[in-house]
Amino acid sequence: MSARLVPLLLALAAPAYAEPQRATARYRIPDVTLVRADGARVNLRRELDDGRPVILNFVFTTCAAICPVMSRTFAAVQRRLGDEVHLVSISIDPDEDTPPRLLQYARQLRARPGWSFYTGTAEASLSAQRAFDAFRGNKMNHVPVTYLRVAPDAPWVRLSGFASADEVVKEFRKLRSGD
Amino acid sequence: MRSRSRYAFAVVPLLLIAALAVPWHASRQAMRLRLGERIYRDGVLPSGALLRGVRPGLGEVSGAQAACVQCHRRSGMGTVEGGQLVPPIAGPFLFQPRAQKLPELDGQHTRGPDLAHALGRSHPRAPYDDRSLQRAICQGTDPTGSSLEALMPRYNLSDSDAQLLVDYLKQLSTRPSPGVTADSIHFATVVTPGVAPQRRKAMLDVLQSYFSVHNGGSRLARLRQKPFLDPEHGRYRAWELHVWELTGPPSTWEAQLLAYERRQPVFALISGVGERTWAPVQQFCEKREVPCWFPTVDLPVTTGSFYSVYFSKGVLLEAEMLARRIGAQATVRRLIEVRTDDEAAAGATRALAAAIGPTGMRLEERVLHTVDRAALQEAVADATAEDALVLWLRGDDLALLAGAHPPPGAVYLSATMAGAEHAPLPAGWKAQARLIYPFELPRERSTNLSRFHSWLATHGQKLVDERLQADAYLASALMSEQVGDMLEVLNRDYLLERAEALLSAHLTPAMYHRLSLGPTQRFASKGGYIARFDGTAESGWIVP
Repeated sequence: MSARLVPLLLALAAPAYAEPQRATARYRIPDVTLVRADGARVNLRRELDDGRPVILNFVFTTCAAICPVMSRTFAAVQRRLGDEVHLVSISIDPDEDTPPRLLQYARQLRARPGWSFYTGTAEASLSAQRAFDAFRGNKMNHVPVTYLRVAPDAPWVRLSGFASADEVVKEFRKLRSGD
Repeated sequence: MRSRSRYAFAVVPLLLIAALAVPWHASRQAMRLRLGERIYRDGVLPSGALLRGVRPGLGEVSGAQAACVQCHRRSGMGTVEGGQLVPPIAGPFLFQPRAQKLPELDGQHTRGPDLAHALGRSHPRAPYDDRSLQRAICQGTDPTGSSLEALMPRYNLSDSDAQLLVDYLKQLSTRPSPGVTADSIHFATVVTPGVAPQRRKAMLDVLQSYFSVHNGGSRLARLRQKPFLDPEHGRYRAWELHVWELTGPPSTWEAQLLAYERRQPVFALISGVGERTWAPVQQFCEKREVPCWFPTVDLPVTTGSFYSVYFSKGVLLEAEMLARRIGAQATVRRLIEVRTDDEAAAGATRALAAAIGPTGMRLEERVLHTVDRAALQEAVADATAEDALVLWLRGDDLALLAGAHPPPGAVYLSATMAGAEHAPLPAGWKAQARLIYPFELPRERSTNLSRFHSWLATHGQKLVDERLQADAYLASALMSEQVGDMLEVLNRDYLLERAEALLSAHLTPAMYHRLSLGPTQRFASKGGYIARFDGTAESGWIVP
């Protein structure tokens, strides 16, 4: 059996309502320039360290099965947490996801200010994915992961799997209250 | 006698009813399938209301977002995304018992971890019937009673609407697409008028060699096919190449293509070459649902394509790259575009104007209806240091610049139209001019293409047009890989879905810097460079 197949077959055997796996980690955010959907060239580290709590994911706009679910979850999280949090979505298909495409995607999701979308060079996106241990060879292999961090010096919480809006908000509140 | 005629009177209306009932039944069936298709593809119910479903824990979805096609794709063959298996739901996969696993999944013959239809069989399950399938759709349980993944919405459907969907699934992807027979797959390649004979021949030679190797010209090739010789898991089929040569004005091409198709339906158009316009070919492909598989065209159509996949947007990409480049340089006051009546050049001019948008820059379009030395040299004579000159011209026309002084300002050339760094531009101009270059740079490319170059040499072919020949080779290689993966499901929609998934992973011997597709994406290479004639880049990678 090919090593690449094993996780898949395990996933097939998994129960239908798998709760996301929770882990904490300290990621070294690379010093790279990304391009925000509004066209601004920004430094990823500074974007994440602006003082606000961050909830982050990796998506691409033409993704059919996984990203629409994750993005709808982010939209629901934003409706509930509002300005309390900076939502960050980084494209893993930056050549296709130009800033205008990201803006269009944000509009479809009714994203409000406080939820930022980023693209950039393929290398910059890759280095962000690597830093968060999210790179899986190519974009069709990407995995659903949600990352939360309440302050620039706090560790990241990594929720692997399809976290529901309830689960993300609950995790966020728990982190905010310092449990 | 009397009783016999009375009997005859009774029979006539019965026959009439029967004669009418057959087509009535057929058209009712067709209508039911259309309604089922609308639920499947658009997420719209027969009443016009939106399809609604709930993903346990993940919320409600409706309409297009809830449509089955979103995850299971048009073919119903499913997909694998990020370790998430979306199983195939096309008829045969639901209504037959699911076997333990395919032999090529024993590790030795594994074709790739993203083959949903192979993986989908890898855990056994009893076949669905109408009732258990309705239960799966509405309640999210399979025939064994276990719950389906949370990603699968539980749909709110009436019994009759659910039955429409069940009937649609029953027939989905059950038969191979046209052009596929028990022992062969027919392909056509399209050549538009005006392509130079040596280019036409170079492309056809690549395709013919590739096809003859595929068709077991070598014993090794057949041996490689071995796992697929097993009748249960896909049989060996010879590839037949038909050359669909077009003549006359583009307005007549679609009728010519339809006539070719009537004579011999093909599974897909493969490669192909078109310099000026390709619109009628794409229109034919969309109308007839025939894949148009990576043709080498300068001016593709960028909208409304499901069945056409391209390596790049050609001159349209160049125009957008140039707009980005010039937009970044505030020094250009006037942009002078020189072109002929060539449709590709006209398309590029329109795309450039649209991409630049309203700015302070003056755009001047100079169209040469007949190209001669004097007219061309006059058209470029007044360009100043504050102007940028853009030449949407082909190689032969560029040679007519010999004797003219290059202007003091920037000069840009379409690499696609001019023949890239091989353009016959006078030496004085070469130092000044920059190529809008939607390809990999020459030095890097020679490494990427080394396998292709040795393949050409092995098959006794000369390098005539690197882009055209490498494109034809790659189109064939990608087709071969996809057809191998598809096993017995030789379905056109599935072919395109496989292309979307596979190209995201592959390192391929291409003319291009990076090839990548994804769901709904139809142009694999999305950027380029501004390059000098010595093959070095003057810009970074530009994605407009």
